[in-house]
Amino acid sequence: MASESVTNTMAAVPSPSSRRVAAGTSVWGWLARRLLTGVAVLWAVGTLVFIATQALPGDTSTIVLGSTATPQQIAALQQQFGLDRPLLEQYVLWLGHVVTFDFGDSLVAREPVTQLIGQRIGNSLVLVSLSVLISLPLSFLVGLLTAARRDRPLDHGVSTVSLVLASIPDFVKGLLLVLLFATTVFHVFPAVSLIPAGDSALSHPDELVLPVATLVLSVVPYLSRLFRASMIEVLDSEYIQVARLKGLPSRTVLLRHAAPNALVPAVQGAALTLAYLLGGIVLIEFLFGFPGLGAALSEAVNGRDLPVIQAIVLLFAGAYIVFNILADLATVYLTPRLRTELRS
Amino acid sequence: MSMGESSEGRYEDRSLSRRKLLQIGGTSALALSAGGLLQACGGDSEPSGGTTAAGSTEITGTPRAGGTLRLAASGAAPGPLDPQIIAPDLETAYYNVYEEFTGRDRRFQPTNVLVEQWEPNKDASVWTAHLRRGVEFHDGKTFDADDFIYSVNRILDPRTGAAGIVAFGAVARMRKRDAHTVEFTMNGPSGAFPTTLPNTRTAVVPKGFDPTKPNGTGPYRVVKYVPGQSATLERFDNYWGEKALLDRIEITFIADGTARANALLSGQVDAVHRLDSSQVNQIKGHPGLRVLSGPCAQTGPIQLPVDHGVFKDLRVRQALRLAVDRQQTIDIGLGGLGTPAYDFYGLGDPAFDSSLKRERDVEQAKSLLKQAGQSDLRFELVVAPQASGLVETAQVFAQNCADAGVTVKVRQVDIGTFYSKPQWPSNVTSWPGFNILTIAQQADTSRGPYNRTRWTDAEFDAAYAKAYATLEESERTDQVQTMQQVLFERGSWVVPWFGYNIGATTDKVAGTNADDLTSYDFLVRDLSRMYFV
Repeated sequence: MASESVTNTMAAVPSPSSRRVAAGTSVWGWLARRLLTGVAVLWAVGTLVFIATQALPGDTSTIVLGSTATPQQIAALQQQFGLDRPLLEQYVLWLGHVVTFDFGDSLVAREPVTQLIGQRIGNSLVLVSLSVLISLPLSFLVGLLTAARRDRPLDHGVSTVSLVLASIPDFVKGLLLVLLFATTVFHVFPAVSLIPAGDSALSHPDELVLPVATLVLSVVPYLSRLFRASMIEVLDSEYIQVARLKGLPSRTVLLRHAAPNALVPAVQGAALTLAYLLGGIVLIEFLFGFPGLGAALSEAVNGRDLPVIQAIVLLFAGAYIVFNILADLATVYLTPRLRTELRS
Repeated sequence: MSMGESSEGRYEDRSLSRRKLLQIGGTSALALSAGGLLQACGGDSEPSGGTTAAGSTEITGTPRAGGTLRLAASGAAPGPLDPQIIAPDLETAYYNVYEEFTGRDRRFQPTNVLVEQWEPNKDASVWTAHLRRGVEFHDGKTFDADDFIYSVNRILDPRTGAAGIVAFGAVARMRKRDAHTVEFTMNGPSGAFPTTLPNTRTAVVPKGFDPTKPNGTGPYRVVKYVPGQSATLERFDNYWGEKALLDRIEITFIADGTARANALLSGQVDAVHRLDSSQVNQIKGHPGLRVLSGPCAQTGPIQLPVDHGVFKDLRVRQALRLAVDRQQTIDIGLGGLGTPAYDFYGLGDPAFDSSLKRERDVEQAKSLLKQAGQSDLRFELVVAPQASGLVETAQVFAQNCADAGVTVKVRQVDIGTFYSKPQWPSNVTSWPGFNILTIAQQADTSRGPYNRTRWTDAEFDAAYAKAYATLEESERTDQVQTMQQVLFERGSWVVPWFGYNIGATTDKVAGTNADDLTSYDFLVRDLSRMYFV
């Protein structure tokens, strides 16, 4: 009966790579292959970003100088920044530095990129981790409950709310939360995340509430639907029917027999969520003035600060790849059939 | 110069829809809140001081030293605190950490700062700067002629990217006479030289200045600065002039105006600057908060390049000037917070001619276009959100032009794109509140480096040259008025409005005065005079 559920679950999760793990002889070989592919993807992303930033009209010199720039001033700054060199030369120089983890100096702030984004990585990490830590169990719980009460009032109510939430753009949700809890109706939480430089975001829990709430509200509607669907699939399977016919209490059926098999999509969902949140923080951090990577990215794009843009995008891409590999690994270890195949 | 509301193309759409959304959101929140609670506190009860359309201008009380003021400042380009280059978020430092050679009061009259006296020779071809004595930099170094000369040379070096380079354009030689005297030999008579220096980033830095180690002579010193995020200033106790009242200023840079307003609304900061009219409506009537606003000389001119194409024809330019509805542009673009302008600049300049006015006349515009053979004129107008109201100005202008049969296609770009080209076919831009001679020097004379429309006029150039050369105030006023007349009759800009200074504070903050025509940053300029009541 377990194999039935695995097939069902696997059908629900688009994860061909997990199968490859099973087919391969060693998990290490698979991991090495995945990591190599990851590096290739990073290189491709980096190159794309390099080309894309070159295609943006204007460069740092014109932006730093503003509307009152003279051609001589622009030329002088371009030379200073190395922007007057041939494109290929700039690219090769950049690539050479990146492989040694040297992202260069920010053109706008004139300090090392690593120093500039170091603390912001921590802040964004706090934001994303908290959002995931809240949304995953919450979505799982909501999915479980709505699946168990399928087509009952609770299910319909939650569906309607999810649909409404899902159809509101993230920044609108953020604005509504600000209006409701910070500026207009109640004054409970700060509207803007003024986290002093040097402080960890964790030491300012107040400032985290609204950004995290916004991200949670953007993710939970999707994830809970995903969990509901996979839970329903599991609940409809024959082994659950057997369990029920055997006379097990429905609580036991739900929690001991059904829920573990719905965990696999949860893991894949977590990876999806993390990936989505990486994009989501760009918007949310701008909205709340949160000093994280997303805000740094939008500032860098505005300032055409190429080294900063490239470093942050590479970081995002790297994180994306790592999340996916971890999710695939977890999928294997959570799926008994795949696990056994790997052992044998 | 930009104001810092920079965004990538995709964001602009969002910030626009966001503003609308705020209004909608505000309305629905109003509907949601039971019992008209909000309406009850929505009454207009402004405290002491004069009031204008949007709020108070001067807030007074009993000055008292001490306290930490938290300020949300606009900020887009997180650069080092270099007071000689243009970066939107550096205003706070420019006015408080550093000082100018020569400053100006709220009506464009020069004030002595680090140059105690400017002494001209008979025909003003040589200027002697007598430097203030007993001035100390924040690191303890004494200010002298070497710092002064270093500062000017740094501005004149194109690699610095200093905006003040134009103001010193007429300087031929500079010579140190003694530790407190510097002599400038000019290219010719330059009677107006010191009066064109203020407000153009002509700040004094110590010899061998390193922008990453802020060190000025102003009333506050930098304790901590994180580019693009925050700055902490502390009162400089060895300041040569009237010492600041506040102990400390904690500045947070927040690029988005709505987020700045929100920070004040939720009690996270005591003061915000550079707001626009939609945020005024959000703050106004909020208990414990106070909107401060007053007219200023900042403009959003529509520039029509005359070196090629249709705008070469004066009739076309005049037709567009007749077609624009100035009051409507102010009402829609600036939420009513503006002063009509009539195609030249310099509101508040002592020589400003307020008698030159132009009524909207669509029929006249049509007939001029017909004479010019441009009855179905169409062109593209490029605009970036450099300052609040510019995009809306372009949109209202396009609608106004449609009444006269002209099709204007508004193309909105982000600031980076806008600056990427030295000249756009036609565009809306932003000019800070400089005096007339300063803007003319930079943008309208035939040799002006920022003359983006390539407009030249012999009479204008001659009047400018005389005004710049003379030492006689009355002669200069005459010439500056001639310049305004020429701009009014045949210039290349459509100037629909002068903007407003808008900031807001809690009602615990006093010592602010929004009546400052010369800048849109009165709040930041007044930091050393502000105190808590």
